Amino acid sequence: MTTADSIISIANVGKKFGTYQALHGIDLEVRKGEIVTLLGPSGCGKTTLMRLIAGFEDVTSGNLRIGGKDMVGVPPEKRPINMVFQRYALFPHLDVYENVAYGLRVRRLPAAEIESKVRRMLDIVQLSQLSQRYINELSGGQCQRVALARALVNEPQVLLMDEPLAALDLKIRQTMLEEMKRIHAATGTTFIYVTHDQDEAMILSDRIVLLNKGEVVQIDEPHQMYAEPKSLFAAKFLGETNLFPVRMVAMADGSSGSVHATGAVFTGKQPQPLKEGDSALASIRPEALYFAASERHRQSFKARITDELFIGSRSFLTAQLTNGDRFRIQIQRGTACPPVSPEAQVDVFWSPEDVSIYPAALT
Amino acid sequence: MKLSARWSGWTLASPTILFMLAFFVFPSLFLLVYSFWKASSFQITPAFQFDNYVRALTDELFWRVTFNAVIIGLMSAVVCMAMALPVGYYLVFVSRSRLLEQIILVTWFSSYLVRIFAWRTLLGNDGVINTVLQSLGLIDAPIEALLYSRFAVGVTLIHLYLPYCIILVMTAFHEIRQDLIDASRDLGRSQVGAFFSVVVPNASAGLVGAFMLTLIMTMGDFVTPQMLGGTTGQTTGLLIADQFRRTGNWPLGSAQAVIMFLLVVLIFVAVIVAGRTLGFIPKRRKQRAV
Amino acid sequence: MTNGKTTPALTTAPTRRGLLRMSAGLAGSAVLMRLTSSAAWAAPSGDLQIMAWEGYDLVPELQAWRDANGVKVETTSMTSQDDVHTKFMAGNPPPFDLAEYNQAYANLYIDQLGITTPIDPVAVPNFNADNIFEQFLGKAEWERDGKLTGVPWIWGFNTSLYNAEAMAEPKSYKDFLAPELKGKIAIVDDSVTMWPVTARVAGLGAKYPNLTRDELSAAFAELAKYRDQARMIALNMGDVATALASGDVVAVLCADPAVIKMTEELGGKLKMAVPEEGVVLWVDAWFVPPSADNVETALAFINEALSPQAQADICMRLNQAPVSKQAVALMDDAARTRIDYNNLEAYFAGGLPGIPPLESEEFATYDDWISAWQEFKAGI
Repeated sequence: MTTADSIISIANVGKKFGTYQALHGIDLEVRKGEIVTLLGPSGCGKTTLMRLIAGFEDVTSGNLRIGGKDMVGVPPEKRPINMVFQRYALFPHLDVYENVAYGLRVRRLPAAEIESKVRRMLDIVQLSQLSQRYINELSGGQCQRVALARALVNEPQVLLMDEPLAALDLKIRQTMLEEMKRIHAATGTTFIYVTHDQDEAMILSDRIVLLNKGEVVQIDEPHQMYAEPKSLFAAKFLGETNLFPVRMVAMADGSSGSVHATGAVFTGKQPQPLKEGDSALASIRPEALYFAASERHRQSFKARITDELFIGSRSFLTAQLTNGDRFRIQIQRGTACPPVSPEAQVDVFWSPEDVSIYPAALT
Repeated sequence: MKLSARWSGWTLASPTILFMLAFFVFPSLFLLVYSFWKASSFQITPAFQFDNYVRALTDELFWRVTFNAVIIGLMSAVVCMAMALPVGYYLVFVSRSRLLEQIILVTWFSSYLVRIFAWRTLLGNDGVINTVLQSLGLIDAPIEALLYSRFAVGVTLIHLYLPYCIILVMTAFHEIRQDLIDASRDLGRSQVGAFFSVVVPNASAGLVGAFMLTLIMTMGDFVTPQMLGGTTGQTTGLLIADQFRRTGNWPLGSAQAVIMFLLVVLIFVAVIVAGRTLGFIPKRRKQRAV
Repeated sequence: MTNGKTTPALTTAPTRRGLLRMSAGLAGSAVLMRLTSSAAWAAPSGDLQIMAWEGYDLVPELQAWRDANGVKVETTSMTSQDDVHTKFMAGNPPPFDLAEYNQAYANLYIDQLGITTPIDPVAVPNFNADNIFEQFLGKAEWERDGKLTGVPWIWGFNTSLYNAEAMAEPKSYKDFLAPELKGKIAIVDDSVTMWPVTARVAGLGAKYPNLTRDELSAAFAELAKYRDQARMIALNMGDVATALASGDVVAVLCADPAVIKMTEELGGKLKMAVPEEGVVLWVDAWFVPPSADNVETALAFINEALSPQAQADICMRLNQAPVSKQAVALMDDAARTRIDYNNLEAYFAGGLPGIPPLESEEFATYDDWISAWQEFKAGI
């Protein structure tokens, strides 16, 4: 499916290294101006896919088009793409200004134009004061901004970012993510972001492409993917969830449901087909469990609360069902909750809309 | 008792420092001192006079053989570098093949003299090259100029010192991260362009070192020109060696050696200046990559 | 017979020469005392370190003697006479028990450098009038004050060598200038051989080693023509033999006939020719340096080297001539007829070449010759 404002078309792309199939059957349309994140655990193929887009590797099968043009045999220097590398790859023999100007000088733009573009970009990334410095005099965050400026100053159609925040402290990471959103808004360039960190993906992206073992698992907006993970892998990778082993049964009104060893009944979304009698896993996120009933939260079971983990704005309570299965409940600070008491049994309520049931065999 | 880091450093380095002092620095200083002494009729007397330098610098013979040595040395070193750069680049950035590296090292395992004699045999009148060319009918009589000529000296010197040069070039390249090349290409340079634009300036210290070391070896080698150069053969090294071996005029030999040393320093400075002007050597000292 | 002028020791302060001479004198007298005071000699044994020309260390010829006496010989090869005396300049005298000197260097070694020690003729009984040709007896090159400074033991002449299949026999050095020989001849880098030749090609052979500086320039200018004919200036005998065997050169201007055997062993062919300018005579003598520590064995070695059979064997092997009269009868026909041993006076009539004077106003000095020779090698 190719839409009119699609800037990158990846159609059934596969990549093989020798006998090892790193990617297969990748389909993806990237729209102009959006921020897309390639997300997945190590070895899932996200870096490989990015290198394919950048041109450092060629596809083994399938079709890759950028800006409508087929990219077979086109080397990286000829693609309308620029990249921010994981360890920035800034040139040690040039100062900040020259690093940023590098791509413009390669294209032999007139000196005045180079000057104005570089200055403007340095302003955008807020590094104008440091243009004479060399890279060993810069902090990690500053290096990252130079790398960003060096790439963006060339006004590429697509900007690729390869885990650019991996080397930075947590606090700086947060700041940089917001910076990037701001720069994206300022330039309107399409961003393709690669990371294994789901928080970064959720904060930054317009859409997330979730990858595992060389295949696309799900492509969705962050809200959607979080609320309705279409597979067990997606449910577990993005955010946290509780999984209860259940067996599929037919409900009284003929619909499909499942029952837990303790007798608790789980109904909810079934993104993948399930038959009566199948083993399955019912997934409920910790924050979807409550201690008070309401019109929405009408299902319940009994559990004992065995532990509390305080994390500032929220707490995680570890609880145990009567058959020993453990799970976690997340509550906001200030919410009323029963005390931690291994003896007392309390009621825990949830809504079927917050439940997804997956086949048990797959991960 | 815990030594401070500084003291530990000095203690660990001291065996090497002492070795270098005893077997390199002091002998070199002796050489310098000798160069001011007097010698005649196989007798050497301590003195302080510049006669040896004056004599060496005004001697047509000395300049002739030094010119020879410099030309042969420069040509061989330049060809070595020209061959070592692509091989080094390929080994380090493209194939990363240990096997290829080891094949290069294998040629080092034969002795120096064996290789010289091997080239003599290869290039001689009834050597492999002449025999093959004759049997193919490409020539009627053996090409004499293959052996006992500047050509023979050049080819042999290159063969002798190319492995050193490749290893030194590779060492310089190993310091450069692959992603610098990728970044350069990403910003629009071709692979060749990336090499000159990014790899060379950042590896410049190592590459200059590789060139200079190769040059010192090719310039100072006097056995190869003597054995393969025929009547074009003399280089300064032989002159200096003869002062020590034949005439017993150590002061003059020392003075000639010191002059050669200064000549090499001069060439080094020239290379740096040329590199800076042409842009291969960054004007500012290279910083470590982040 | 010596031609060179000698100059007295120059400096008054203790010099290395003076010290060496003193210690030579002391060591010499010590040796003398030991030899003359003991009734029977100590039997030869142990390790002997010698410096000799390649092949001249009598390895096959004295095998039996070495085995019988338990003597091990360690040889350092010399490729030119300079190799010997420059070793003595190094500060620590080298540990040789024996070395050779060419007669041209006699005065230098005995009087000026003082690196020979006196040898009592009694210790070398084979050196007597019955065994040795008279040309080697009682001569100033080897005897001072009744003691031997060196023991002449082998002689020969360096001359032109050529491949008879590739060229006609040269009758004169000038034949080497023929156009068809361009790039086909070799010259050896050996001053003792080549300096007399240099004088001779310019017609100044009779004056050698006392040429004026102008005559020296003229001689080397003439020699330059031979360099233009040459393909290589060989390092040593082995070097030129290899080139002759492989056909890279077809003749050598003047060299030791021992090269003939070497070349033939490598599969080549070589013959000797005597040019009209004459051959370059040389006589090698064994001498005992002051730093020797196994003097008895050294002297016994010298004695054995003079025995008629050893003399005959080595001369046949190296194509050289013996000092021993009795050895002639023991040689094969080829070797015996090479030289007219009944008429040695004819060979020695012209005298034995010396070396240019170390210091002189009138004549070109040793240093001048060295410089000229270096320039020759470098192509100037």
